[in-house]
Amino acid sequence: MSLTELLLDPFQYAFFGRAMIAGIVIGAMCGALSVFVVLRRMSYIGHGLAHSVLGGVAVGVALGVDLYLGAIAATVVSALLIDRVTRRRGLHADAAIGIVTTAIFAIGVATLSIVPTRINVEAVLFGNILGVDTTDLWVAVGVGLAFAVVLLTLYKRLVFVTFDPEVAEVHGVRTGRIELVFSLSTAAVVVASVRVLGVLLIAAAVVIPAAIARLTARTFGGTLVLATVIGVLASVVGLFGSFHVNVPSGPTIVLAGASAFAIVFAVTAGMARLRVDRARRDEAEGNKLRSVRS
Amino acid sequence: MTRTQSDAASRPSRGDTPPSGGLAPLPASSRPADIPSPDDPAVSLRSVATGYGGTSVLRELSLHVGRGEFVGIVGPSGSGKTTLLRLLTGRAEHHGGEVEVLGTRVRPGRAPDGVGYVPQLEAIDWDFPATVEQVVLLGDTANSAVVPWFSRAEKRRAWELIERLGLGGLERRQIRALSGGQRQRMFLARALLRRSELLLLDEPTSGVDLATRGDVLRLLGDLHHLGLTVVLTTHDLNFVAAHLPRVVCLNGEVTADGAPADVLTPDALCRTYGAPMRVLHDRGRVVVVDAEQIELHAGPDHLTGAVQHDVEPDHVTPCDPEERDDTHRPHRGPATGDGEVER
Repeated sequence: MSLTELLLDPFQYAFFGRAMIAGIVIGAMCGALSVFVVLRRMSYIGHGLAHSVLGGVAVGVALGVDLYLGAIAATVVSALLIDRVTRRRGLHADAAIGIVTTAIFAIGVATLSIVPTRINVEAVLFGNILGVDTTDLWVAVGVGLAFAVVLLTLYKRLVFVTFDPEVAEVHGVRTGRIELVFSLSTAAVVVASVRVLGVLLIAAAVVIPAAIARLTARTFGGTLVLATVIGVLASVVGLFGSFHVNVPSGPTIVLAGASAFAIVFAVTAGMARLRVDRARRDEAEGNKLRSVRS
Repeated sequence: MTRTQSDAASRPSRGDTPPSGGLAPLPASSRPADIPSPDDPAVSLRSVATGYGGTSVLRELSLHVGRGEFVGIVGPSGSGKTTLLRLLTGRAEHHGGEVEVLGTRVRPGRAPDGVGYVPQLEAIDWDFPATVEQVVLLGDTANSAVVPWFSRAEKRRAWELIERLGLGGLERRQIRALSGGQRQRMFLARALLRRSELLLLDEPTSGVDLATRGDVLRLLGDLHHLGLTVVLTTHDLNFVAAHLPRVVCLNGEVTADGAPADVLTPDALCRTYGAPMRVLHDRGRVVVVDAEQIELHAGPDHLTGAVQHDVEPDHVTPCDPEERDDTHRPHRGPATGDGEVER
């Protein structure tokens, strides 16, 4: 199979085109979100909120409501509870996330055990490009646009709150509101990403792009742009992989990102080593010259 | 509780040459609006009480800091220094009394205008991907337009402050590559970008070496001289004793308040820290040393070369804050001449 066939054949199928558009939007959202998640040391948030999606989907389907409504309700409730528990009771975010989202995940598992449903549990857990329909596409695009608006309008405030929340508050930034908007945005991104990435693999998608970008970028803006691009590339590569290897899309997207991280990590570590070696060599040569002159 | 006003006479007026000559006048857009008057309070707390989870931290606290003053708050860990700063910045609730900052009543959850805050350096993630310019620009974010970039005017103002605070040429430097002193200067520039009239600093001498401490002090002195009110917390008694015109000892309440020579007495320190401390006077300077760790037989000659006293361990007066409660007024410094040990 030629490279052209490898790249173009999947687009003969309408679902792949939808999955690709949704994947690009989701990759960009997860990439941008990952910068805030990683710098705030809240890597657990994506993991937790994604788990709570299963609870919402299960309960929603059991009650006969739309899958997305259940997912949105579960993640919004999770995000609000995490926000409240963390701010009002002084618990650290990781503990709050662990308690709230795992409890909602447990509700979902219990519901699926008791109430018979037609949910494809594997697709919910690992993502499925075959299942991306027009609704999923519009949800992804809608959430993507809303997230872009939030990011553009609150960018400076988000950066301040991420870097130094204490001073941001003293300097007049409404940190409570910013935190709330951030939590709700994260919940929305997670819900929109479930179809493509799956509940269990969203966590990696909101961590890996920023982890790669931090190895190379010097500024916050540079990190954000690079992480967004990495998120998109991981989605694109992962979706092609999913199609050709016949593996759920979540694992292939995460593997694409993880491979990129391994490569960039090795390259930057090697370059750092080279710089140190060069500096030592220069110093040794300098010492030799000085001893010859003296 | 009384407080000496001796520093009021030496309070500078705007436009004087900074004492160290190190800091050029602030950009007009970053200076406080009015010439400070000591009678015009920058900070006023009246009978304020606060605490966390049923534990009282500050009790019936009353404190008045006039505009243009330079005040150091000292006290042991848990004495309420950071809580006091949280109260002043609207980040802590109080059970009673009133808190006013720059003439405005502070309500919990609403930060007062005109306050610049410098956090402890240890509280910051120095691997954060940001440059000096970006961090300074964040200072006035609350008043910045809702677009993801800063305007030319905002950048110009930030550059002016960066330049004036001695960081010229470091605008594009990664914050992780800065020294301790440069980091403090960067945070001061960020605080000033907000057109702050009151600077609050949480432990600015914590975790920095002696040279950096001096650097920070000179800078704060210059800013004070340019008309800003400066309130800082510190564990470094000798730092405030040597350089600040006013010190407030805190331990749940104000235990002493006034000029360092008047306030830093064994009695006041005993009430504040609950531990015996010795106070040495040398050429008008106050030096506080831990009575239980003093090099007793060597004498403190190494400090000044002028002190001639050897102090035997048996002579250390035990500290019992309860017993000394009748001496709540700041010690006025009797006839303790140069090189004398007060206990």
